[in-house]
Amino acid sequence: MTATTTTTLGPAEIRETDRWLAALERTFWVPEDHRVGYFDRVAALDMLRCGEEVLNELVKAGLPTLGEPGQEWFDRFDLFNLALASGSQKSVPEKAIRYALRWMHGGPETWTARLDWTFVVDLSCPLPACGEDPEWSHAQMLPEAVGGELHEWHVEPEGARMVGDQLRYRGPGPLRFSGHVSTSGELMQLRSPQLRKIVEDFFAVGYRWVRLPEPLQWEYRRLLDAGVSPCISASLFLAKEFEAAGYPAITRRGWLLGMLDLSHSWVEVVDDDGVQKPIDPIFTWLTEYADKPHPDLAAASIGSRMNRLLPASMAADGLMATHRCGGRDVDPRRKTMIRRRLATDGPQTHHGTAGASS
Amino acid sequence: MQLYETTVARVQEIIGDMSPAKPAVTGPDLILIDDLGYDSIHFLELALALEQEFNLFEFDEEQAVGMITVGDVAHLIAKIVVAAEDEGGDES
Repeated sequence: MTATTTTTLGPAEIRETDRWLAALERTFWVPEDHRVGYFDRVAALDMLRCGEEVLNELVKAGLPTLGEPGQEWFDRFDLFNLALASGSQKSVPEKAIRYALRWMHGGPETWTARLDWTFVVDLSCPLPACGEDPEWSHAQMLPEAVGGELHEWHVEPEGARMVGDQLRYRGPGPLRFSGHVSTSGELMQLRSPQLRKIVEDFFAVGYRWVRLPEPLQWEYRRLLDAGVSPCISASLFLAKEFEAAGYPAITRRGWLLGMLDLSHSWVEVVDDDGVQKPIDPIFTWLTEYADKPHPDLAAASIGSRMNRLLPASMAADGLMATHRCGGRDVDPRRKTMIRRRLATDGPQTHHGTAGASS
Repeated sequence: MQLYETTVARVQEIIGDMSPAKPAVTGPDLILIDDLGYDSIHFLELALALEQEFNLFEFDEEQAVGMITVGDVAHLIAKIVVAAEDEGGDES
């Protein structure tokens, strides 16, 4: 990108470039020890939708890259976080988050109603040829932990089976499980002044939500010190704080369900009334990216059990899925799809009269 | 009626074009996930493409529930398009 090229831009393009450059200043970059150059320029442009001129300016201004100039590779989390900070309304991450959260405009009765979902999870080996003696595992979905139910369950190949709270299989992949779950919710509030204070203090710091690689999120002190707090980091930190105050707490992995399923994590703490309640600060922050979210939704996500959370039998610092082949651990390729469906069986105690539970 | 049918045909064409599985033929009974390879991100791209193509307001989640086959989506869009056309006609 040369100065000559810049002068050919019209006022609108210059404003657009300035917007992206301003976002660059605000973005937290994946540290070098976790950075992976997974996206080339074509993929980066497809994600950012900012145009090649702007991408050139961003690289010149410090967007982290790997590889040679002109043939750069980008970390996908860097691109996601930059796009979300841009406010361009055109990038795929902005569109995806807004799309995923379209349900957020609904009122409280829609947060607790029974919802039904079909799910398909595929695990495959990312290597060109899967190694010898392949093994697979995936955490169990736990809809019953949020008042829901597992209605249907299928797994392929047939040899795969539940061992404790893990689906396990020894043999060639891919491994697929699918079925039908329901979720429901209950509006609750934190009673303990101590717990409320911990949560208020956490929000008062002003952390920013970002998406980052899981192993980096486990280093939660490092991230919090840098002023950012993805879901796993927030969960691990708050669980420690709650425990230190004498309140039993667990972290969970699972999914935030909507028009898209988002991999998610939150913390659950036993309140003074003996009830285990979810605390989900990221849910609160995500309302800022939704189009016209209900004004009470952000507060409700602190203490309420929302029908949008589907837990899994895995803590925030655990692996949702594992794969081992050729005598070594390999991060499996995971494809998950969870979509709303019509309720066709099972009890529907909340469906259609959703406000009753609140 | 012609608008309904042309919309159904166009939606089926778009779904086929955007299908990750790139099938040789498409039809209303094909299942988006199993037959055409759609996943969450492809659904997002399809929804945005259909909204743009037919100048629709954003679908809400309730409308999207139960969309299993190509025909389900095509008929949903056709109904919305025809309803919008009828409303426009009433006003003018």
